[in-house]
Amino acid sequence: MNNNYRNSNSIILKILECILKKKSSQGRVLKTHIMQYANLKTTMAEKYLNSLENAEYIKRVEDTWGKRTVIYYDITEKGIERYRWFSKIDTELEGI
Amino acid sequence: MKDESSVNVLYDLVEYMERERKRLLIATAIVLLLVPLALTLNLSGFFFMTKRILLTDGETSRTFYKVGRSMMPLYFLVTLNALTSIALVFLGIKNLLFLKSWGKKLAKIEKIEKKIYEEVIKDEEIIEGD
Repeated sequence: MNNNYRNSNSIILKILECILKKKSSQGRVLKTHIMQYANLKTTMAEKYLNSLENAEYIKRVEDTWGKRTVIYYDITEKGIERYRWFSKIDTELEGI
Repeated sequence: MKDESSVNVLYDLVEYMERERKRLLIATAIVLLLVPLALTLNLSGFFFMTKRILLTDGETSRTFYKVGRSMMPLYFLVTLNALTSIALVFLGIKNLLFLKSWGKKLAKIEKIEKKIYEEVIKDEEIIEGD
Protein backbone atom coordinates (compact mmCIF):
# COMPACT_ATOMS: atom_id res chain seq x y z
CA MET A 1 0.00 0.00 0.00
CA ASN A 2 2.45 2.63 1.20
CA ASN A 3 5.74 0.81 1.49
CA ASN A 4 7.50 3.78 -0.10
CA TYR A 5 7.35 5.75 3.08
CA ARG A 6 6.64 3.05 5.65
CA ASN A 7 10.30 2.24 6.21
CA SER A 8 11.18 5.88 6.73
CA ASN A 9 8.18 6.43 8.97
CA SER A 10 9.09 3.44 11.06
CA ILE A 11 12.57 4.91 11.66
CA ILE A 12 11.21 8.39 12.36
CA LEU A 13 8.75 7.06 14.91
CA LYS A 14 11.34 4.82 16.53
CA ILE A 15 13.61 7.84 17.00
CA LEU A 16 10.79 9.81 18.58
CA GLU A 17 9.85 6.86 20.75
CA CYS A 18 13.47 6.40 21.82
CA ILE A 19 13.80 10.03 22.87
CA LEU A 20 10.51 9.91 24.78
CA LYS A 21 11.38 6.67 26.57
CA LYS A 22 15.03 7.36 27.36
CA LYS A 23 14.29 10.95 28.35
CA SER A 24 12.02 9.79 31.12
CA SER A 25 14.40 7.08 32.31
CA GLN A 26 17.86 8.55 31.69
CA GLY A 27 17.27 12.26 31.14
CA ARG A 28 19.69 12.74 28.25
CA VAL A 29 19.37 10.95 24.95
CA LEU A 30 22.56 10.60 22.99
CA LYS A 31 22.99 9.71 19.33
CA THR A 32 24.31 6.28 20.30
CA HIS A 33 21.10 5.54 22.20
CA ILE A 34 19.06 6.44 19.14
CA MET A 35 21.28 4.44 16.81
CA GLN A 36 20.96 1.39 19.01
CA TYR A 37 17.21 1.74 19.50
CA ALA A 38 16.36 2.34 15.84
CA ASN A 39 19.08 -0.01 14.63
CA LEU A 40 20.73 2.62 12.45
CA LYS A 41 24.22 3.13 11.14
CA THR A 42 25.98 6.43 11.86
CA THR A 43 25.40 8.03 8.46
CA MET A 44 21.74 7.06 8.34
CA ALA A 45 21.21 8.22 11.90
CA GLU A 46 22.79 11.58 11.05
CA LYS A 47 20.52 12.02 8.05
CA TYR A 48 17.38 11.17 9.94
CA LEU A 49 18.32 13.31 12.92
CA ASN A 50 19.02 16.27 10.63
CA SER A 51 15.72 15.79 8.84
CA LEU A 52 13.85 15.54 12.12
CA GLU A 53 15.59 18.65 13.38
CA ASN A 54 14.70 20.54 10.20
CA ALA A 55 11.10 19.44 10.56
CA GLU A 56 11.22 20.68 14.17
CA TYR A 57 10.32 17.31 15.61
CA ILE A 58 13.48 17.20 17.74
CA LYS A 59 16.11 19.64 18.88
CA ARG A 60 19.84 19.29 19.39
CA VAL A 61 21.09 20.40 22.78
CA GLU A 62 24.75 21.00 23.60
CA ASP A 63 26.00 20.52 27.11
CA THR A 64 29.34 20.11 28.80
CA TRP A 65 30.53 16.97 30.49
CA GLY A 66 33.80 17.74 32.18
CA LYS A 67 35.93 19.32 29.48
CA ARG A 68 33.98 17.74 26.67
CA THR A 69 30.94 18.98 24.84
CA VAL A 70 28.11 16.48 24.67
CA ILE A 71 25.30 16.65 22.14
CA TYR A 72 22.02 15.14 23.14
CA TYR A 73 18.58 15.21 21.65
CA ASP A 74 15.25 16.36 22.98
CA ILE A 75 11.78 16.05 21.52
CA THR A 76 9.76 19.18 20.71
CA GLU A 77 6.04 19.76 21.22
CA LYS A 78 5.54 19.08 17.50
CA GLY A 79 7.42 15.79 17.82
CA ILE A 80 5.31 14.74 20.78
CA GLU A 81 2.16 15.65 18.88
CA ARG A 82 3.21 13.62 15.84
CA TYR A 83 4.09 10.64 18.01
CA ARG A 84 0.62 10.91 19.53
CA TRP A 85 -0.84 10.80 16.02
CA PHE A 86 0.93 7.54 15.58
CA SER A 87 -0.35 6.28 18.91
CA LYS A 88 -3.84 7.02 17.59
CA ILE A 89 -3.37 4.11 15.20
CA ASP A 90 -3.90 1.89 18.20
CA THR A 91 -7.25 3.59 18.80
CA GLU A 92 -8.11 3.32 15.11
CA LEU A 93 -7.60 -0.42 15.27
CA GLU A 94 -9.96 -0.82 18.20
CA GLY A 95 -13.17 -2.62 17.37
CA ILE A 96 -11.64 -4.67 14.58
CA MET B 1 18.39 -6.12 26.60
CA LYS B 2 16.93 -4.37 23.59
CA ASP B 3 13.75 -2.37 24.20
CA GLU B 4 10.67 -3.70 22.50
CA SER B 5 9.46 -0.94 20.21
CA SER B 6 5.72 -0.33 20.02
CA VAL B 7 6.37 1.04 16.51
CA ASN B 8 7.40 -2.44 15.36
CA VAL B 9 4.43 -4.07 17.03
CA LEU B 10 1.92 -1.65 15.53
CA TYR B 11 3.44 -1.75 12.06
CA ASP B 12 3.43 -5.55 12.14
CA LEU B 13 -0.23 -5.41 13.03
CA VAL B 14 -1.05 -2.89 10.30
CA GLU B 15 0.82 -4.92 7.67
CA TYR B 16 -0.92 -8.09 8.80
CA MET B 17 -4.28 -6.32 8.48
CA GLU B 18 -3.47 -5.13 4.98
CA ARG B 19 -2.51 -8.63 3.86
CA GLU B 20 -5.55 -10.25 5.45
CA ARG B 21 -7.89 -7.62 4.05
CA LYS B 22 -6.68 -8.38 0.53
CA ARG B 23 -7.15 -12.12 1.06
CA LEU B 24 -10.61 -11.68 2.55
CA LEU B 25 -11.64 -9.36 -0.28
CA ILE B 26 -10.62 -11.92 -2.89
CA ALA B 27 -12.35 -14.77 -1.01
CA THR B 28 -15.55 -12.74 -0.57
CA ALA B 29 -15.58 -11.66 -4.21
CA ILE B 30 -15.19 -15.28 -5.35
CA VAL B 31 -18.01 -16.44 -3.06
CA LEU B 32 -20.29 -13.61 -4.16
CA LEU B 33 -19.71 -14.49 -7.80
CA LEU B 34 -19.86 -18.26 -7.53
CA VAL B 35 -22.81 -18.69 -5.17
CA PRO B 36 -25.47 -16.95 -7.33
CA LEU B 37 -24.03 -18.62 -10.44
CA ALA B 38 -24.18 -22.07 -8.86
CA LEU B 39 -27.69 -21.43 -7.58
CA THR B 40 -28.90 -20.28 -10.99
CA LEU B 41 -27.42 -23.36 -12.64
CA ASN B 42 -28.91 -25.61 -9.99
CA LEU B 43 -32.39 -24.09 -10.22
CA SER B 44 -32.46 -23.96 -14.02
CA GLY B 45 -31.25 -27.57 -14.16
CA PHE B 46 -33.94 -28.64 -11.74
CA PHE B 47 -36.79 -26.75 -13.44
CA PHE B 48 -35.64 -27.86 -16.87
CA MET B 49 -35.70 -31.46 -15.68
CA THR B 50 -39.16 -31.23 -14.05
CA LYS B 51 -40.59 -29.36 -17.06
CA ARG B 52 -39.44 -32.11 -19.39
CA ILE B 53 -41.04 -34.74 -17.19
CA LEU B 54 -44.33 -32.79 -17.00
CA LEU B 55 -44.47 -32.31 -20.77
CA THR B 56 -44.17 -36.00 -21.50
CA ASP B 57 -47.30 -38.18 -21.51
CA GLY B 58 -48.33 -41.78 -21.19
CA GLU B 59 -46.05 -44.10 -19.41
CA THR B 60 -43.59 -41.39 -18.34
CA SER B 61 -46.38 -39.16 -16.94
CA ARG B 62 -47.75 -42.00 -14.92
CA THR B 63 -44.29 -42.73 -13.69
CA PHE B 64 -43.87 -39.04 -12.87
CA TYR B 65 -47.19 -39.06 -11.01
CA LYS B 66 -45.88 -41.86 -8.91
CA VAL B 67 -42.46 -40.26 -8.64
CA GLY B 68 -44.06 -36.80 -8.14
CA ARG B 69 -45.05 -37.55 -4.64
CA SER B 70 -41.57 -38.74 -3.92
CA MET B 71 -40.19 -35.52 -5.43
CA MET B 72 -41.07 -33.56 -2.29
CA PRO B 73 -37.64 -34.16 -0.76
CA LEU B 74 -36.15 -32.82 -3.99
CA TYR B 75 -38.14 -29.58 -3.70
CA PHE B 76 -37.04 -29.39 -0.12
CA LEU B 77 -33.40 -29.80 -1.15
CA VAL B 78 -33.72 -27.16 -3.87
CA THR B 79 -35.35 -24.74 -1.41
CA LEU B 80 -32.62 -25.50 1.10
CA ASN B 81 -30.02 -24.85 -1.59
CA ALA B 82 -31.62 -21.50 -2.42
CA LEU B 83 -31.86 -20.50 1.23
CA THR B 84 -28.25 -21.46 1.89
CA SER B 85 -27.15 -19.46 -1.13
CA ILE B 86 -29.14 -16.42 0.00
CA ALA B 87 -27.58 -16.73 3.46
CA LEU B 88 -24.10 -16.97 1.92
CA VAL B 89 -24.72 -13.88 -0.24
CA PHE B 90 -26.01 -12.02 2.83
CA LEU B 91 -22.90 -12.99 4.81
CA GLY B 92 -20.69 -12.03 1.87
CA ILE B 93 -22.25 -8.57 1.67
CA LYS B 94 -21.90 -8.15 5.44
CA ASN B 95 -18.25 -9.17 5.14
CA LEU B 96 -17.74 -6.65 2.33
CA LEU B 97 -19.19 -3.86 4.47
CA PHE B 98 -16.92 -4.89 7.34
CA LEU B 99 -13.90 -4.87 5.03
CA LYS B 100 -14.95 -1.45 3.78
CA SER B 101 -14.85 -0.04 7.32
CA TRP B 102 -11.53 -1.80 7.81
CA GLY B 103 -10.26 -0.11 4.64
CA LYS B 104 -11.35 3.29 5.95
CA LYS B 105 -9.33 2.77 9.13
CA LEU B 106 -6.28 1.73 7.12
CA ALA B 107 -6.72 4.81 4.91
CA LYS B 108 -6.69 7.02 8.02
CA ILE B 109 -3.45 5.39 9.14
CA GLU B 110 -1.98 5.94 5.68
CA LYS B 111 -2.95 9.61 5.88
CA ILE B 112 -1.07 10.00 9.18
CA GLU B 113 1.97 8.25 7.72
CA LYS B 114 1.91 10.37 4.59
CA LYS B 115 1.71 13.61 6.57
CA ILE B 116 4.70 12.67 8.77
CA TYR B 117 6.67 11.51 5.74
CA GLU B 118 6.00 14.74 3.86
CA GLU B 119 6.97 16.88 6.83
CA VAL B 120 10.24 15.10 7.56
CA ILE B 121 11.56 13.50 4.40
CA LYS B 122 9.92 15.60 1.66
CA ASP B 123 12.93 16.95 -0.24
CA GLU B 124 15.60 15.23 1.81
CA GLU B 125 17.63 12.52 0.16
CA ILE B 126 17.75 9.58 2.51
CA ILE B 127 18.70 6.39 0.77
CA GLU B 128 17.63 3.23 2.51
CA GLY B 129 20.23 0.59 3.28
CA ASP B 130 23.05 3.07 3.65
